[in-house]
Amino acid sequence: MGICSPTQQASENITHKGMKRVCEEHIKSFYIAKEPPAGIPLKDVAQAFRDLQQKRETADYDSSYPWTKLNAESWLDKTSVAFDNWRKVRTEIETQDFLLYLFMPSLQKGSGRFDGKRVASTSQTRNSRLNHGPDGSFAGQPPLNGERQPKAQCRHVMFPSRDHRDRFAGSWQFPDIWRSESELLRRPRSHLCDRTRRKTRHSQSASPRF
Amino acid sequence: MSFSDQLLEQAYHLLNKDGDEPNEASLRRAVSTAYYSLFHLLIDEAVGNWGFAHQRSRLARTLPIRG
Repeated sequence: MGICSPTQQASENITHKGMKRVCEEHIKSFYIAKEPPAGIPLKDVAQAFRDLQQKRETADYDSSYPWTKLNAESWLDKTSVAFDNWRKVRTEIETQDFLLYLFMPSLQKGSGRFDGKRVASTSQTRNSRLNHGPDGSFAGQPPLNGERQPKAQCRHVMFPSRDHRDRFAGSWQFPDIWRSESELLRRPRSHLCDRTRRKTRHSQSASPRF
Repeated sequence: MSFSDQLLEQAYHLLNKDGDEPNEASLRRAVSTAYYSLFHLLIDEAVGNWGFAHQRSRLARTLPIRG
């Protein structure tokens, strides 16, 4: 089994269909977040991209579709509006996040866009477990009065976590996803059960040493 | 004028070049070009975030986008 480089892995995700899926996810989360007004221009761009891709396929491959000038013009106008909307919000954090997800769709999972509806990623959930005080207080926030956080707020994803995404959001280097895995492999093996540890020791002693 | 703007302009050119009765091929190419103009706008924006300016055009060309 070959190991591909991070750049290869990232680039393998880039497809027109993958970008369309990211747009669909963005539109979905916009409506889940109760249509925040600040998110409308970006949602319109995502919607335009999704619809235009569909129309592009119709235009290129469906010879039975009856195109009229009016119909085609409406799609061109929609594209023009999408250009304007994009330029209105291109420097916003949400827009830059959206752009990142378009080319690295795996980062979109568990990202929790739209401030009002953030979803904790795995690392946030893990950190919240580590940092909770005995009274339930968390990192300077008021105690939870014995109430546990509802499970619905935590979406479990393996990785990349939000922290991982944030690390790369500003610099736009391709994420070194494989490093996370190699870090996991380098962890001390105290978490392994006795049987596994015995097996490991056996396989180490059986292998020739150079 | 950026490449994405040029594509959008070309889409309008294809739409209007035959007056009120454009041929179907022009309409189809116009819609397809409009999609690619938006697509290239997003590519340009993404590549513009790359830290090293001299590598941006190469990166934009080599992004292996598939269907």
